[in-house]
Amino acid sequence: MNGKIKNAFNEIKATEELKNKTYNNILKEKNKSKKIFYQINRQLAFAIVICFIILGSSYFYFTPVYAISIDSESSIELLINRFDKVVGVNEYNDKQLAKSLDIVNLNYSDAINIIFSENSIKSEDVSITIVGENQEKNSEILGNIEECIPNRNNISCENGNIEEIEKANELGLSYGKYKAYLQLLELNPQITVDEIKNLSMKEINEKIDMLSSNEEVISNNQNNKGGNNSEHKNQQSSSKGYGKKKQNNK
Amino acid sequence: MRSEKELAQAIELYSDMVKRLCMVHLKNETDTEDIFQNVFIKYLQNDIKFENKNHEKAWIIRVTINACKDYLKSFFRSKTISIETYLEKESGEDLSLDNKFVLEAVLSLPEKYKNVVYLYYYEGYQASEISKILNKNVNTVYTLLTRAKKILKEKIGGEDYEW
Repeated sequence: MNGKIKNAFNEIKATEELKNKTYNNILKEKNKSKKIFYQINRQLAFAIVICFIILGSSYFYFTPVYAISIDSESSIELLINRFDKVVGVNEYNDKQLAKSLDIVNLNYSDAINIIFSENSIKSEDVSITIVGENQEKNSEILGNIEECIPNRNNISCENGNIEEIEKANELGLSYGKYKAYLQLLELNPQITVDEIKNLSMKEINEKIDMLSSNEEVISNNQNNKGGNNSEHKNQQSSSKGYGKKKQNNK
Repeated sequence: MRSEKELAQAIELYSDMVKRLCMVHLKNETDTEDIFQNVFIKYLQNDIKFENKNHEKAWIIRVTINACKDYLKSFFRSKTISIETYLEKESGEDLSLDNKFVLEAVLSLPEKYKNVVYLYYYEGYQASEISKILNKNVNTVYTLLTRAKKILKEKIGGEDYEW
């Protein structure tokens, strides 16, 4: 092989200028993409941190730590977060009161004010229960609510138990109604949740009063027959105290 | 990703070959610069472990040919100029008349014969090796070579062992 083609191509060579230009341009590109990579990484890290902050604070904000159960003709439960804001409203009957109230994200005292000032609750018998793990805070909320509520008769406020509110919710009852249901159950073991679910607190209290007075009558009759044993049985009956006013009655 | 030192070595070692391959396909200095950059960026970013220098060389040839093909299809490629003008521009007055004549003959070949001719006559690859590099059937390579030789014989004259 004479190598004519080889000889001809041998004369074609890349210039030093082309080699240097290629090398420098590639290094420039490399550094640029490195910079972009770090920039994107930094932005990504920042975005992730922001997301975590948003998610964390949302979780923090929207997690209720207290519940205010208000029972009258309707039963609603205000879920309060650690910033004293209402983050949810549960309703345990079909009165549709919760839907008509625009109280989410308001301070609980403002929410209570709205509930009572708009005449949403007309009944005289109102039971308000505060449920939360911190008893001091419960008492503080209770005090604030008592100041907020306009003068009404038969408004009872009390501290509730967080385990009991879970049981109440399982039965589809607000805490106040659940407590009243427990009282009724002791007086009449046949009573069911469905029977009282849509009753107002006034009606439930009337039922309790009626059953209690019946029981007292029976008890008195038994005392009259039983002679010396009457004193002891009387004591047992009144210790149940279903007819008596609740703690902190206003 | 390869180091800057490896890149510098590759540029030093394969620049002439890439330049010749670019010349075979493209007739424009700007396009050649772009191809250079593309090929060596790929080399820098690639993590393939080459078995030996021949393997590395074959890889560079394949990448360069593919880059040239892509460039020819590209809408943005620069205007091509005549072979004569290109050769004058590339080698100035250094290119002898004989060599210029041979190069013109090779560069004027139809596109499909150029790689086979370059790899066979300049790089000295066998048909079986060319078939692997170009990912073509060996018989196809033989056919392309035979047809290219026929054209070159008409243009350059003489016998193929002289080329």
